[in-house]
Amino acid sequence: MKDDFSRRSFIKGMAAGTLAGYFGAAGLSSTVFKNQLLPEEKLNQVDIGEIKALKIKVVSETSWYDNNVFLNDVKGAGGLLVNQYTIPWTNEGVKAGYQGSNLGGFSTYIEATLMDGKVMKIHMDTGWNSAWMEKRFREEGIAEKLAKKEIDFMVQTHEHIDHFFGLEATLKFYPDIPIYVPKGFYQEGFDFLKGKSFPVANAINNISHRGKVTVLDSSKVNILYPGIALMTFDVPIILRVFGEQAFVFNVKDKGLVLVTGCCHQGIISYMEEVRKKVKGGEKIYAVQGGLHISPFEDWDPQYDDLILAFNKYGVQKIGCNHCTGFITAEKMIKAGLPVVKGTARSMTKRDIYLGNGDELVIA
Amino acid sequence: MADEREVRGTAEAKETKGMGSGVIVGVIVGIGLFMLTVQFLYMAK
Repeated sequence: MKDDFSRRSFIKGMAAGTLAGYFGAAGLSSTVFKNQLLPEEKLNQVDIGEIKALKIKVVSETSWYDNNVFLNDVKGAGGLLVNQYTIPWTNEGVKAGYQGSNLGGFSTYIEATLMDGKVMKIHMDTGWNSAWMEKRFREEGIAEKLAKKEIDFMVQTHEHIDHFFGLEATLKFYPDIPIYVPKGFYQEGFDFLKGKSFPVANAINNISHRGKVTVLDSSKVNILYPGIALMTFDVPIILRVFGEQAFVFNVKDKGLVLVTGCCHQGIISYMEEVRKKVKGGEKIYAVQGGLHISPFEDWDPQYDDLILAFNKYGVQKIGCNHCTGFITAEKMIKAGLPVVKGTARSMTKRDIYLGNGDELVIA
Repeated sequence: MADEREVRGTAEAKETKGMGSGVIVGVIVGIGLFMLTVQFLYMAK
C-alpha cells in the first residue's frame, strides 16, 4: 500500500491543488456566488415627501472672470490650502472682469411649489463681488423679493469666497433673512455674518445679520418642508473651508432633483448618498448647479468615469454650470447626456450650459 | 526480473496516481485555507 503512489508527485499535486482550491474558491465566491454570500445592501431611505413643481433660476454662475488672475492670487498667497480670508483677491485692473474686478459670484434662486399650492422662495448662496451681485439681484427681481421679505430663507451651501463674500448684497435688502449654514462653518464666517470685514481679502460686510442662523449637521437628511431637504457633507475643501450642503427636491411624477452649489462632496458621492438615504433615490430625475469637475478647464482621463456614472442613476436633465467647466459639458454632450443649454448672456461666456438668467423648470 | 517497460509503466502509474491524489487533497486544503482567511478577516473587522 505504501508504495502505491509516488510521494513526490503527491506533494507536487497537493501544492498545485492548494493554489487552485484557494484562488478558485476566492474567484467563485466573488463572482458566481456573490449574491448568495454577500449580505444584501440595506438602504436606510427617508421619505422626504413631495412638491408639485420646481423652478430654478441661475442668478449668477460666473464666480470670477479670468482663471489666470484667480490662480495667480492663490499661488501668490501660498497655495490652495491657505485661508481664504487672508488672500488679497484681485478686484481691479482685470480686462475681462466686471468693472475691472475679477470677482463675480454664485447665487441661485429657487421656487418650490408645495402640494398645498404654497410657493417656497429660496435664496441659495450670495455670491462674491457685492456690486456684481446687487446688479444681478436687481436684474432678476431678487432684490425686490428680498426687500419685501418674500423670500422664505437663504441657504449657504458652503463658505467659499465666490458663494459667501457677497453677503452684504443680500443683507442690504433683507438683514434678518433666516440662514441655513452647514456644519463646519469657521468662526470667521460667523463673524462675517455679524458685520466684520476682512479688508485684506476684500471681503467687506458693514451690515450685521439679525436673523436666525441654523447650523445643519451631516448625520441625517434635513427635511425643511415636505419635498424639500438638505443633505450636509463633512468634506474638507480648498482655501480652508469645511462642509457643504446641497438640496434634494422630490417633484411629484418626476422624481428627485438635486440642486448644488459647488458639489465639493463629489457628484457621484452625492448621488450615491441620495440613493442610500432618500426614498426614490435609485433614479434621479435632474441635477442642477456646479458639479466641480473641471473648474479650471483641465481634464484628466479619470474624469471620464464621472461622466459615465451619470447613466447609472438615469438622470434625465443636467442643468450644470459654474465649476462644472465648459470642457465637462462638451464631453457630457458628446457622451449623449441630457445637458440643458443656456443663452450665454449677462457675462456667461457660452450657451453650452445654463448661464446667468437661465431657468430650469420641472413640473 | 521484470521487463523494463513494465517497471517504467508502474512508475508512471504511481506518479499519475500520486499527482491525482495530491490535487484532490490540495483543492480541499485550498478551499479550507480560503475559508479560514475569510473567517480571520471577518473576525479582524
